[in-house]
Amino acid sequence: MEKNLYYTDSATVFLLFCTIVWAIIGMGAGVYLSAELVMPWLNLDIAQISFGRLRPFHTNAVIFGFGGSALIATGFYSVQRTCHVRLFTPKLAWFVAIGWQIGVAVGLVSLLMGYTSSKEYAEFEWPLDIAVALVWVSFAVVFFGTLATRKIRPIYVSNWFYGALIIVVAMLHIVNNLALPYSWMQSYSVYEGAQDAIVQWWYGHNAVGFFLTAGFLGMFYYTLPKQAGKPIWSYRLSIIAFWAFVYTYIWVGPHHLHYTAIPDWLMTTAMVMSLILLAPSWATMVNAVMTMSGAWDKLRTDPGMKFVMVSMVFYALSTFEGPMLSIKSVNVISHYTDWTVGHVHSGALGWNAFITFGTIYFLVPKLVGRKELFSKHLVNVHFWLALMGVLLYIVALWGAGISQGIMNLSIDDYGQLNYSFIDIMITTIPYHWIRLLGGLLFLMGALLMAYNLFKTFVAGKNVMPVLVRIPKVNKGNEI
Amino acid sequence: MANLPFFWQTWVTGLIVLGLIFLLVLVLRIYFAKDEHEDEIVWDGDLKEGSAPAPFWWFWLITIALFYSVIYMIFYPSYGNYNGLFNWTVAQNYAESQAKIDDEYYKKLTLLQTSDELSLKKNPQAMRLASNIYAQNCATCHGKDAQGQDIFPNLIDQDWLWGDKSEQITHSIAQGRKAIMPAWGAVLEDQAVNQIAAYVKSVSTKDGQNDTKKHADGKAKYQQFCLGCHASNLTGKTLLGAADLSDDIWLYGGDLDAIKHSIKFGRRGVMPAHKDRLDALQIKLLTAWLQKSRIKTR
Amino acid sequence: MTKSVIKHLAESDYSPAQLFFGYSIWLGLIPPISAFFGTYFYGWSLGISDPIRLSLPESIAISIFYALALIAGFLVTAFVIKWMAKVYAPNATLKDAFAVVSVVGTPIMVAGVVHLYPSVLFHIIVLSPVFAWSCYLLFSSIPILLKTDYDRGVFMGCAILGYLVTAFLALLGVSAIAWVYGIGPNLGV
Repeated sequence: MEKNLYYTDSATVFLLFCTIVWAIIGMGAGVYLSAELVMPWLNLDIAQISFGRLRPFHTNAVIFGFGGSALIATGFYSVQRTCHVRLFTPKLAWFVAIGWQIGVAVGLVSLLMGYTSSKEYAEFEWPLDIAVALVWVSFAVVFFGTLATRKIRPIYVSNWFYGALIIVVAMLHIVNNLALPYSWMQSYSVYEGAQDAIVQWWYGHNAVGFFLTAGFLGMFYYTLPKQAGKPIWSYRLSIIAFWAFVYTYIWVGPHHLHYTAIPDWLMTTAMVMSLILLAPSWATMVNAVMTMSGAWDKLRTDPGMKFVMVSMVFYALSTFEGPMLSIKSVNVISHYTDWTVGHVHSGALGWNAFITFGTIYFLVPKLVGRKELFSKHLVNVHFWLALMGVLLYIVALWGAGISQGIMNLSIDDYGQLNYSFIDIMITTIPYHWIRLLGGLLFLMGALLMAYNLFKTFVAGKNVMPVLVRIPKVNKGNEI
Repeated sequence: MANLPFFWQTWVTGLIVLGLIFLLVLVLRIYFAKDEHEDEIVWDGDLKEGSAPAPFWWFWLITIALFYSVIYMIFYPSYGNYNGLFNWTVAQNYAESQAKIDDEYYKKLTLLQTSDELSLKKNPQAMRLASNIYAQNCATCHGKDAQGQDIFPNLIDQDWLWGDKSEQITHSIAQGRKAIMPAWGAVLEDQAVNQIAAYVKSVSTKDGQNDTKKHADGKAKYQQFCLGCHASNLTGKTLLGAADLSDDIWLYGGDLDAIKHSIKFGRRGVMPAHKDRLDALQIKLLTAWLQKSRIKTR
Repeated sequence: MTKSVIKHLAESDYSPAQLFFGYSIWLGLIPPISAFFGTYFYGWSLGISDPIRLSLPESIAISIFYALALIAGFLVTAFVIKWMAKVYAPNATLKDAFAVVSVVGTPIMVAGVVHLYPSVLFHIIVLSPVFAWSCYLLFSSIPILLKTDYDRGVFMGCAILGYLVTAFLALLGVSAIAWVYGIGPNLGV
């Protein structure tokens, strides 16, 4: 059997399995965390599961464990098929897959043990940063190697997004994590004070922008047209969506630092670039909606399609909310409140998780050689649970955030602050209960998904590995 | 704020200006491009890209955003060193905001400043203001309801370490207090400590204090060592912050072991001085409020 | 809203104006009037705060603005539905769009009586099931009212839901800007 005639998907299957495991671990940690906020005794006086340590555990597990595994999995899957060539060095791809899991897992354990650089979304200490960078560089080699050896000349749009993800995240990771090591698990950042804040949030927002958005847009631009069976509606829109997106996103970091001790011109630039950013994001939404508008009938036969469809609704919502929160006047109310947390989760749950669920439901049957999932009904139940969960979550935190924002600033008849911190905390508690409920529903949906996929895998394992022959390229498009 | 050096100034300005121009050109080209009929590219099975144009409303969305940004950056600080036509800075914005608030409430606050204590206590809005000040500045230690916690005194019971007259309370807040109970373990043996502790406890709980035989030693030692600060009838001296030992209110715990600890190892309490944090009006309000809020037992 | 009522609406030939002035606008007055009573006689509280009371002219002004905002929101949403229908439901008329907004909005407007007790938390607890019910009405009534098939109806429903949530968020943002510029609660900015 000539290996080069077939795509290689074993690493993808492994990574999708890891994605599901991380979903449960990461979201489970998130639910426990929100429970701790309303029932502090839940930390059981054990340092490792206290809020302070569990929170970065949660963020890293969902972003890098869940999101990262999903991105690498779908990146490997789609780059082969859009290049009509087997993955460049499949062995290195396996190194990336396993290395990523080990890196994330060891990093998470280190967080629970209390080692942290205290930079948000970059909490891993320096040895783990180096390990992660090595794995990432290998990912770049596999991905760009596949692109370089492609048989079809034009590069499909999803690959631009994955490419941007890889290059920009490498830059962000290295620059933000520069530190002087003091001991094996302690280091001092080369940045200080306001500079550190600016670099941190340049990194922080672009981690969201390139890891959680550009990468997932790559996933989306492949999954949607394949699942709908229709072409992407407008190639021209996707060009501007990509370039305007990549250019403007880099600037927006300082909108996390409005009205703090950073240069005024940074605030201005961040605000206007955030506002412009709305347009390319909505360009993708338009592309999605119009692409799907020709594929009504798919809804009946393909319940996973609902996830892809609704992910676009939340993408539109979040990419509207983001620029809106970047407006300085709105930021005065929203900064330091739960409104920001609500915004994060409308994007993370509504957009990232939904598109990942839709993609996994789409890919797994194919990969395990089954025509369909074990249960379409369970997919529907998952969908409604997840939708209810994310809506409850967002609304609860809008309520909390607005209340906190007003109470933070409210002054009485003498121009003195009206509410103490304790007052605001007490007001917030009921909203946190509702948020906990939302998160629980979401987690329940994810557990159903894990069960469904496990049963699908078991049904198909005699047929695995599925060998897909690489098709010929159309005339005129060959290299 | 230090100015950017020329190189970085040019770098930033160049990136912003060229970037925005590039975007505008790209948007216009894409919107007005004629439908090019390329050979249809098929990537993966049925994966294709269509050639529909950008929607009209979307074109206006991005174009307006681009122009708004350019205009905004003319008026507000941008491009590194450029201050903008409004000459707006965060620091100045804050100062103006603060000045506006000070102006607006100046008259009302002046009225309060000239009020005497009694009328303050009768003014519900002033008392609400005082409770706000308390919540912002004192509640962390003395508790949300001013009833104290751990080693921070209850401020609204009947026991005042340093006195409950206005000047005394004001002094406590403004200048702070340092309360020092010496460690008598260096001088007294354990037996003596136990006897004094038992005696003091009996007096405070009114339980068997008249049993002169049982507590004779304790009483004698008390009068030798403790009377100087805590007074002969155990009522304490507010001048020294020496506690009233005759009521059953204990800052560091009223069980026998805690009292023994206090005597043997001493105690140290610090009320930080707030004169630099709070102005005279705030302290006056707090004093009035604390007196008014006292829980009435009789 | 029983299926028969919705069917009747779909098959009737009222004009948009008849529907609006005969039904929708009256329902739409419930929230502003309740809000007036709640705001003036009781006052808004955030959690544990003392109720914030407004004066009579301020309360009346806010209620009027609220009513105007609801009317504007109704009309904009109806026209957005009509515009989206070009893709999803080509047989729909403007009156059909008005009908969708009226049907979906009915539970919400009726639940507007919750404004009589102005506490943010109470609102969220009461209005969450109400909004869930409206959501259900949205998806179930679209195929009937807009004369389109089930699948396109689901797409359209998602699109309208997306528009509504985004519009609500925009309202939140505009409110925040208004507050910071001094219109609304007394903030130290």
